Amino acid sequence: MKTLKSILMLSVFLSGVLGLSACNSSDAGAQSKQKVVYHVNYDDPGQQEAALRNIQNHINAIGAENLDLRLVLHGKGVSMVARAKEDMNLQSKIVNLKEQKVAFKICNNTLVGKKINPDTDLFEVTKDDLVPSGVAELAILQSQGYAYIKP
Amino acid sequence: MKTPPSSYEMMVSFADGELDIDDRELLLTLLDLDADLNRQVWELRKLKDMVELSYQELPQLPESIEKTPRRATGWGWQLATALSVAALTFVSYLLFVANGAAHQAAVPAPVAAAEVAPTETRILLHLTHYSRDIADELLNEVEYLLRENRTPGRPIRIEVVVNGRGLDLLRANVTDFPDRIRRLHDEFGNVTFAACNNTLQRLQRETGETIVLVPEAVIVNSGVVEAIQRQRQGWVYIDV
Repeated sequence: MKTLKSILMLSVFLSGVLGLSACNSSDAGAQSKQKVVYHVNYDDPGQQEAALRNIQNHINAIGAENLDLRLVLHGKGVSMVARAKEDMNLQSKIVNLKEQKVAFKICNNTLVGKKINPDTDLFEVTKDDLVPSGVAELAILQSQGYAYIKP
Repeated sequence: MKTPPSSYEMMVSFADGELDIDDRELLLTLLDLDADLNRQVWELRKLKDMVELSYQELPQLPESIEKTPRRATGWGWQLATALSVAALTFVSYLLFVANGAAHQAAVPAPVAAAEVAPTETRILLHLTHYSRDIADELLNEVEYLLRENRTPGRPIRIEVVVNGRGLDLLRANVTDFPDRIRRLHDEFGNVTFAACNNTLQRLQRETGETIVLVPEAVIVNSGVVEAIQRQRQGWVYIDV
C-alpha cells in the first residue's frame, strides 16, 4: 500500500515538475512558479523531520525562486511547531525554510480542539500563519492548482 | 502443470483470472498458508486494476456501487440519479422557455447542482490505517467541512474511501464510531463512506469470517482505483 501511495505521490510530483519545465521553456516570469502544498498530520519526529528534508531537497532541485511552497500542519502535525519551542535544531530548520519562502499554515481547528495557544505554545506562529481548517486549506490550494504531496 | 504453484507466472495468471479450476484451488490453498505470497498476489491484482484503469477512456462510477447489496444505499443512488435527471431536464426546460418559475425547482435543483456545478468542492479523504485518534480526527474534519459548507451556494461533497487497515473504520464490530458515522450519513446527504472490496475479500479469506460493514458503507471494487478515478474527475485528494 505504501508503495502504491508513493507511486501516486511521485506521479503528482513529477507532473508538477514536468509542468514547471514546460512553463520554464516559454516564460520564466512569476506565473511559472511551481505550486506545491505539503501535508503533515502525523507527530512522529523522525517522519516530520524527513518531511522538512523532502521540502529542502525539493527547493534545492527547483530553486526557491521557482517555487510557491506551502506546508499545511494539522491534527498531530501541529506538534512540529510545538516541539520547536524547545528544540533549537528544529527551530533552525524551520527558520531556514521560511527564509526560502516556505509558508507554514497551521490549522486553527486543531489549536482550538487541543486547547493550544499559538502565542505561547508554538514556535513563531502568527495570526497570518493560521488557517481555519487544515483540510479545507488543502482543498482550496489543490483547486487553485497546487500539487499535493504527503511525505 | 509444469511451473511451481508459487511462481510469478502463476500469480500473474491468477491475478488475471486465467487459471483453470485445479490450479486456482491449489493457489488459493497456498495463499491461505503463506501471508507473504498472499500480499504479493493482491499487489498484482491492484496493479491489474490500475492498468485497466489507465486504458479506460472515460471516468465512470464504479459498478460495484450499483451492485451493493445494501438496500438503503442502492435506493439513495437511484433516487439521486432520478432526481438529477429530472432536475436537469427541468432546468433545461426553464432555460428554453425562460420563464420565471425557477423557484418551483427549489427541491430537485440542489441535487442537480451537486451533479454538475463546477463550483462544487469535492473532497476525497483516503484512509489506509486505523486508530481511534485518527478516526476521531477524520470524522471531526468531515463534520466541520459539512457544517461550514451547509449554507446554500457553497456546495460540497465528501467521500471517505477506506482500504487496508482503514477498513476498520467501516467494520460494524470494530469501528469506534458507528453512531457518528450513522449520524453524519443521516444528517448530511453529501457524504459517502466507501469500503474497498479487495480488502474486504482478502480479510474474509484470511480470517475465515464474514466481515460485516456498517449499513452506511457502500462498496467499491478497489480503494486505490477509486482514489485515482476521483482525482481524474477533479476531486481534491487528501491522504488522511
